[in-house]
Amino acid sequence: MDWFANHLLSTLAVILPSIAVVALLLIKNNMIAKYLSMIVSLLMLVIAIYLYQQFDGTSANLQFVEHYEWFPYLGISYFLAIDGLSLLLVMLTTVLMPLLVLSLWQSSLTNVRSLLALLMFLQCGMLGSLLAFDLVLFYIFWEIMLVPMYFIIGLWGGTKRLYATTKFFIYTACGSLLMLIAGITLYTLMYQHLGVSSTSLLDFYNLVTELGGWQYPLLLGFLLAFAIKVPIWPFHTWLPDAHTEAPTVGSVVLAGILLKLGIYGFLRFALPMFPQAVIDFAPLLLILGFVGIIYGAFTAWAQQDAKRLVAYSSVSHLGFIVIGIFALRQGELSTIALTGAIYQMISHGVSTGALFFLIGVIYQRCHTRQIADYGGLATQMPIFATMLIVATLGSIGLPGTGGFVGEFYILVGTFANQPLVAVCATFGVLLGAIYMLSLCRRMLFGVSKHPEVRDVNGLEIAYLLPLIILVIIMGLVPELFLHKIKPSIEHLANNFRNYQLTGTNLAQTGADDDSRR
Amino acid sequence: MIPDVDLSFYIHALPILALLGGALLLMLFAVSRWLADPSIIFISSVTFIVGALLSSLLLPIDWIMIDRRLLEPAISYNLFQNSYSIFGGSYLVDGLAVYGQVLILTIGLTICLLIKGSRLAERFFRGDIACLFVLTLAGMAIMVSSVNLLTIFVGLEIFSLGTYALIGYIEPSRQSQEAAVKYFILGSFAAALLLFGFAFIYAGTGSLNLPTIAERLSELSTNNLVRIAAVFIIAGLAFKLALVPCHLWTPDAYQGAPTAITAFMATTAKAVVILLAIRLLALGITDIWLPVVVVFAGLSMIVGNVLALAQTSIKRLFAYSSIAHGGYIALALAAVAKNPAISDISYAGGIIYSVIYYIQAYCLMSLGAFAVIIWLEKDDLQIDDLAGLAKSSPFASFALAVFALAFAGMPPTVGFFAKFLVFETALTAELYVLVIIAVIGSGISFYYYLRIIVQIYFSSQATGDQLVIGSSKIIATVVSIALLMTMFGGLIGLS
Repeated sequence: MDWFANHLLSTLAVILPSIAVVALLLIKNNMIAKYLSMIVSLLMLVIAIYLYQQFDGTSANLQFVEHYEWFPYLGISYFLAIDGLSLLLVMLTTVLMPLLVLSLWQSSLTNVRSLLALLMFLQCGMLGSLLAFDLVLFYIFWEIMLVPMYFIIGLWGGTKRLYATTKFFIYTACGSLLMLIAGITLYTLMYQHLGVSSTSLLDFYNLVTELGGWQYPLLLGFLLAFAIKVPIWPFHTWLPDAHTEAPTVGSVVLAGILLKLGIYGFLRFALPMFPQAVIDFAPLLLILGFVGIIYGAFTAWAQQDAKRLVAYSSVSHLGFIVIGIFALRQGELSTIALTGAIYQMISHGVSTGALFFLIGVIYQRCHTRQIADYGGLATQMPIFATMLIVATLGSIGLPGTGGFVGEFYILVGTFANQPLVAVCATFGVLLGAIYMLSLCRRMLFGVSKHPEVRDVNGLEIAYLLPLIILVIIMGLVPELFLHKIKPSIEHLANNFRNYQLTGTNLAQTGADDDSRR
Repeated sequence: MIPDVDLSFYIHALPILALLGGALLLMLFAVSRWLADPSIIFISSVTFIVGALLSSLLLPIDWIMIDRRLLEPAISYNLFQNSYSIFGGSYLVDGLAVYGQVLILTIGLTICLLIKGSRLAERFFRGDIACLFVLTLAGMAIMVSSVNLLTIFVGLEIFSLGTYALIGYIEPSRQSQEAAVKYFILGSFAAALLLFGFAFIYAGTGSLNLPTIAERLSELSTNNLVRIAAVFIIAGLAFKLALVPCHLWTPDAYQGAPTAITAFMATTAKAVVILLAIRLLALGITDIWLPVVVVFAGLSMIVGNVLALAQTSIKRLFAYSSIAHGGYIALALAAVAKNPAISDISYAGGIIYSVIYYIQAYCLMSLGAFAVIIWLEKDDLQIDDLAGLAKSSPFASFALAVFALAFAGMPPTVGFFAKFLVFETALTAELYVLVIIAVIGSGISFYYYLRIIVQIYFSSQATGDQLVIGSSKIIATVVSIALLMTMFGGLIGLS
């Protein structure tokens, strides 16, 4: 037990998912597989809640550090830690997982146990990417995410799944390759300038002053990888296909967490490692973010397919987050906009996750995603309609929902730094209201097309309700979520050009290292 | 008068002697009435190979595992500690030599086991063919531990001739004989080029012994004879390595040969030539090497990857992918050539390490992938034949998918770490354009590796006769071991 207490992050991100994957591959019984993944995902949630409890919200330092040498010759280490930038995303990931398992409980999909194994594998990749503080380790987890998602879309997807999943894989993998090259270049530069071989992020942060003109090509490498993942316009074309063809769980994970990892990459890598280049590239990114907002909104408006509509709305909403991050003025980041960006990531994850779940629920009943095939659901499925409306409002950003808090912070922060961009982006909010509400109107009201459809059952309520409640709680008491992460954001904003991080538990693990030798 | 020879020193040649003696015995078995039984031939060839393997593992040099520091002495002829030279200085036992022997013999042993489990077993384990196989291994083992140009050439010819014969002789069909002849003609041409290059080196330096040549070259500032020699040698090596534009024999030879022999060619033949290239690079004739190797590497990465896209036969696909992988290895070799400061031992050691890591990772993945193909027991397997394999044989499908992803360089497989090291080496040597080409090539390669996975898992069209895997326990074991090593070998730092 003592060992586990000292290796909470490893347990969470590596050990539990690996055990689950191996066990799920060995178990032949679908029911046992479901119970097992439920237990494991609940265990992970408990660990994550414990982490959140124990997390010191007054410090920007790395916490729960685990740092061991891995390949000493190359300077690659096994380095896991958590700080305010990743805390909420870790929570979101672990909260979504039991809900995903629950949503598969009575699923009609074939071979559910393989799907669960892939989800667990994905979980390992996502949590690992969030917690890794070593570039090679991060890259490994980052690429691990790709494979299960590829199979989830390819095996359980819709009719055009092959096209969608291949496009998704190649797009993302090519982006990652560029990141790998940029990372290795950084590594060789570090050896040239500092005489150390290391792939630890903390060492990369120290390299900033030595980089000079290298910052630009290197930032470009990282930027492309993350921009494809987010996705930022014009790298978004894989997203609608992947979202539309993916099964419900795939869409939820994709929208809920995978996309956010691109944003997380900006915060963790791009900003602190290449500050000068970020300052110079920021106008371009603001423009791309803005184009994404408007383009995503208009394209969403024109969609006939409910899933595609929500997918394009993601492009639009993530444009907001990008704007929030890159709203610099005179080389200064805006703390408020950054807070908004992080908050909006979580809130978008929750509300869009809920929307995809809801579309999945209705798809299971009527086997169509065309909005025109629905109508009058409000009278037949009142609970469903209520939930859909709450999730929609959360997505639009109505006051009282999480989306409002995030967008408000982003717009306020951006307005202070880049008033014009903020004013223009506000149109995106307006457009968001139009297409989301029209989705609701067309599905919920009017003439009923499916007279015999039943309302959501207990199981569906069980996995939908937590998200719906979260949408509202996030809108009413944002402090509950923000109070632990403020120091990290302020630290990033204030030390943007000279970013340093230290670990609070480093001393203790150092002692561990000594005892092992 | 008998010269006073310390025979105990010749213990270092034991692996070679075991192989050569074994080959002779196998030849005798072939004419014997009782010993010509396939199972006896199998057991004895395995015994000879394992014997050679053990004796090279037990060689009394200070060499335990493949490791950056331990390979360093291997690339500099000034450092002879931990190494022994015998046969008048033409045979050197150092880290690189022993490493090469262990690699080759391990692969040879694996191939033997794979053939035992395949339907080729009856045909292969005849005295004459098994003798050829063991001789081929002996030729390779001689080649990796020679430092005399003539001995190197003899080793090269022994193994090349053996390979030509193995391709066409085991299962004589029109295809395999065509493959053998193609490989033979172009291979002999390559050998002639190499020999010509060696002659020029002799003309330029007056020696055939690599350490002496290295010494004399450092004294001579410019020597046109040696430059010409470098061009010929590099062309010969490029033929053997199947680098573009010397690759034309590869797809046909790979497709026509029996699959086990294809696996043998793709792994060992490549590995020994690269080890030879490392030895020759250490001569320091790098100003000629660099532009040529750069062009070879760039072309191979582009052409190999692009042409692989159009293939329908699995073996041809792997042939083109092996051309592309040859390009990645050449990229690392170009990094060696880029930095003539090979005297910086730790730096050069790092580069050599990345080359070696790539070879062994590539050998591992290829062996695994070809083992699965052998397991599937179908002549000239097409990609489309794989449709629905996931249902009929989940384990083989899973293994083939993992090997495909490893070839594509996805972490955490060894393929990723190999690519990581090669890119690191190339970027340290500031070969930026080549690295960009490599990235583009890798991007393209995702598509055709994914095609395999798509056929296995996502394709449902029934092709009539469903593929079934053989019942061989041996192949299953080989695949499982290769699979485990591919998946986790990189994470624990070995491969």
